[in-house]
Amino acid sequence: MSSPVGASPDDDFHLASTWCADAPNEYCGPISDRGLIEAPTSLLDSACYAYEPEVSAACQSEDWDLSTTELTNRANTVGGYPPVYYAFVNLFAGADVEASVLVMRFINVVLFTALVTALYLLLPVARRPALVWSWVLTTVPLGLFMLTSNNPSSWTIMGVGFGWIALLGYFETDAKQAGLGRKVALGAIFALCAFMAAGSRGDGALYSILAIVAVGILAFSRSKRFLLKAILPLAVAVMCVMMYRFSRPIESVTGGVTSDSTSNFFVTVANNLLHVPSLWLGILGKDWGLGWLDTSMPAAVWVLGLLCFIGVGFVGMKGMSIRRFLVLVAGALVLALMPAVLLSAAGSDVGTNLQPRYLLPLVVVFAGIMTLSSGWRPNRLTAAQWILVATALSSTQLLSLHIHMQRYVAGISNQSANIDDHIDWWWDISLSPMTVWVIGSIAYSALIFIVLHRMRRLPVTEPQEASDSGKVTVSHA
Amino acid sequence: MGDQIGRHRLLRKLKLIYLAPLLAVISLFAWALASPIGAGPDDDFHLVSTWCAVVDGTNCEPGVSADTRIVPETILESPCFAGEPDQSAACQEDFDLTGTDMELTDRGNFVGSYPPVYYWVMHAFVGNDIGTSVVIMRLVNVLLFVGLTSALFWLLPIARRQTLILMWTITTVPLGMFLIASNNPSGWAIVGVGTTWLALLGYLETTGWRRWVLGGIAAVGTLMAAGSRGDAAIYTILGIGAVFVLTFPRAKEHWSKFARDAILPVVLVGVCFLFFALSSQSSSGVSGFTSGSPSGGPLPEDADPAERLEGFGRFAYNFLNIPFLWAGNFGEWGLGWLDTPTPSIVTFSTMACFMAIGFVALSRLWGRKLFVVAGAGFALWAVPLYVLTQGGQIVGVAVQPRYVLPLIVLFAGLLVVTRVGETLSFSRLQVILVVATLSVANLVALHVNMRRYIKGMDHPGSNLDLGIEWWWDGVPSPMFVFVVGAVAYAGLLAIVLRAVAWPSLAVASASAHLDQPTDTLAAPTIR
Repeated sequence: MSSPVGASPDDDFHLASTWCADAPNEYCGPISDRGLIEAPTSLLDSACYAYEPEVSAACQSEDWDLSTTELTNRANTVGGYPPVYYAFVNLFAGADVEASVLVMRFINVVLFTALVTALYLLLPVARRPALVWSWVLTTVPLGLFMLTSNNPSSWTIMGVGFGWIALLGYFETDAKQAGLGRKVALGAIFALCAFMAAGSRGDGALYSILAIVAVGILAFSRSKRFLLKAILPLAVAVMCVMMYRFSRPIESVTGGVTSDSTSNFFVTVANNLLHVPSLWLGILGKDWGLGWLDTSMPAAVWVLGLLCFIGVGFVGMKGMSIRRFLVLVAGALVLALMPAVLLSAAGSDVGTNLQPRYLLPLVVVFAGIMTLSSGWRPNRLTAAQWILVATALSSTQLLSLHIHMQRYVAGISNQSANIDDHIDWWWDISLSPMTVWVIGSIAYSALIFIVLHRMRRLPVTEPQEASDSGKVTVSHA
Repeated sequence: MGDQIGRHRLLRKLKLIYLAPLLAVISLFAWALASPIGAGPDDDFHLVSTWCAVVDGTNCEPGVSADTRIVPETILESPCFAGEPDQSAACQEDFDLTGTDMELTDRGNFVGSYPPVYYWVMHAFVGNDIGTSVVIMRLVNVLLFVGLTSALFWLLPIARRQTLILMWTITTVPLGMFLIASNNPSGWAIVGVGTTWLALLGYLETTGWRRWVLGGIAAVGTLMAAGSRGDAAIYTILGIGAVFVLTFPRAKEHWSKFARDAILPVVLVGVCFLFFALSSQSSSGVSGFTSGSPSGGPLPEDADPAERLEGFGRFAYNFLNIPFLWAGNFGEWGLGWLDTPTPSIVTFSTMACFMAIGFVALSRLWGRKLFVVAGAGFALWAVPLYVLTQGGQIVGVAVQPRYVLPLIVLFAGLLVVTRVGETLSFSRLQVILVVATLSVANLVALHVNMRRYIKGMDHPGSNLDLGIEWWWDGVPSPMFVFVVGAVAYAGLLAIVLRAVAWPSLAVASASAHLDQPTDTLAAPTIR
């Protein structure tokens, strides 16, 4: 609720694509040969405040008239994005733009909550910390913003971020021990998540395949049982490949490949590699702002976020198996080389084109694998450590939400502690911005403290990674 | 048999550790050579102050008034590249290094704004050739640091070695390395603050001749810190205060002994106060910088609208962006005159290592440690915030990251301190990760620093020997210095971290109290 219609990056494109997903319809015309379409002007102009942090959302017109349309190419007309996400949210696109947008965001929230709850209950108990940490460490502030937006990235992040651990749970669950229903449920969730990811962004398909490979390595064992179980992920991987052919994401990100001599190319990649960490830090809010990259966060946000990620991650390095180490090294290489190579191929430098949020789904997986062993005693956090993390995350959340909200409500130049002091824009509801902020922040803080405290009281079990022996002693709640 | 093997292994480890000081000198000396005369921030001021620490008419003559002097023109013009990253140090190629031409200046420590000790000591190395003198001064500073740290390593109780090594490891790349090997008094401030508190802790924990040498080291550290910068005097006092909190005995019967032991620290506090009061620079700390202060650095990216903030808004902005100031010590603000930008891999790697080890260090926490860590952390936030607020400035101007680096070192040390008998335990993988990450960060930072002065930032290219626009005379080639320096640092890290943080340590230290007399256990220890 903290941001208006059109706040997420390229939302003019995404909103138009949403309303026009089943074009031609009452809002949009047919798609022309050249990929143009008649789409509602009010949607295309919704982000009138973009790139101008001092402009609040008051620049939006009060009345969202969908009848006026204009010819545009800013919609998913040439298949640059897969159709699944838009087709789904299109179900909620109605004449009341503001209500529709809020409903769509709310649905995303419900989806996220449902998935995390389902997995929490279905996964082996010792995997719960990884589930929790993978999201807790990576989502403030950018993740929270994207997950609760109208941007298809929300589904990519959710799909990849939940799919991998569902698959891991699927592999590690013994149907005889824990019940066939549980195993089937985990497998189904995995397939659904992959579908969500691949159906929202082209790179979602690619990330899902990478996640499948990573989990396959972690769960690998030379047994017939493993091969049988592997049928599902293999089938899903094939599905992802087929869905990938629906879009050409690399070009849409970088604008194509320039030809360059190979030795020059390596030098460019090496140079870009040195700057890639700024993209990682961008996920935590450094330099790359929220919104249309125009809402910048103070240093306290990314420094505290980095502290939590690195601190918990470093503790998670204890009790590392060779296999997990290799997967993590491979993951780090992907997170470093992929942006460097893509940017170099397009002749761009780090800082342009490729945005941190494109890496976020993989970072969620990385954070999860990084903390996989934290159900074990050696990696438990002390009281000082988990309280510090919980406090840091609560602080960064409330700070970023406040700044983010105030930017749209009043514009950056009218900052004050009380958001209600200066309201240029707000939804047509009885709750004031401050109320929303206070309730949201308290809820988040309470959630973090409760969940992280719970992580410490897990029974010490030994979920041998499935390869160690034929027997898997995995306990479920 | 097992005992003999243990001893052999230990002897092997000990032999390697003797290499450590040499490797430290080499890696820091590479940093010393990595930048030309005048490359340190405000070096025109500091070099002039060094030359004029004693006005004897040969290197420095009286000027027309009390706040001017006449100095070799070369020194004044040495930062000809400052603020222009594409400009290499080639502008120095035609400089007259014998310093025959003199010129009037008012930029120097003529009216006691800085304490005099640093400049006075450095002045002893002023010679005929400006370039040689500058390099020798840097080498002297490096030797001082390595000498003090090696002495502490040898004299402190074995369990304290981990504190010593970890404290320096996580705080010195890249800005610490650059400053310690420079002509800037901040180098002494960092070394002095970091050394004094730990030496004092050792002084209170040992007996016999060992204790007096440690006390002497603490005194040297205090003189270095308080004698170089006014704010370092305050940080030293904070460090001494922390030591008191950590060691104050609860039982009444120990109080009189503690009171006797406390004489030295109290004297040192008095020395600090003296230097602080005598340097007018301290008034900037108390009442804020005026606009005539040193150059500002990069501003956080939401700075432009922030400039227009007033009152509470400005305070909140500063409050929330203080961490940006800390990040400046890890490469975020660049090196040199804040005009040598380091790529984000440096900032990310060094901050990650600090946070990783610091986070693990929190696993050993008790009441008093929590108090001193929280106190130091509070100071880290409050001191720069206070100075900025008094001066009405925003984060990014006036207060430079290096001003708080000594406090960061102190904070790091208090973070990793443990009670005698406990140490922080790491896994092999954790140690390897830290060694690898910091080695890479140091390598990249050193390379960027060298490239900036040798060819200018407008010439990318990893070979420093190609396209040389500036380099010292009579010194091996840049690539040689770079490779030797980078490898030496990696080797140093591997040796010292293996000595204090490798998992087998618990076994080794249990069987080998080779140079620890048993009476250390009777001395007051951290409670």
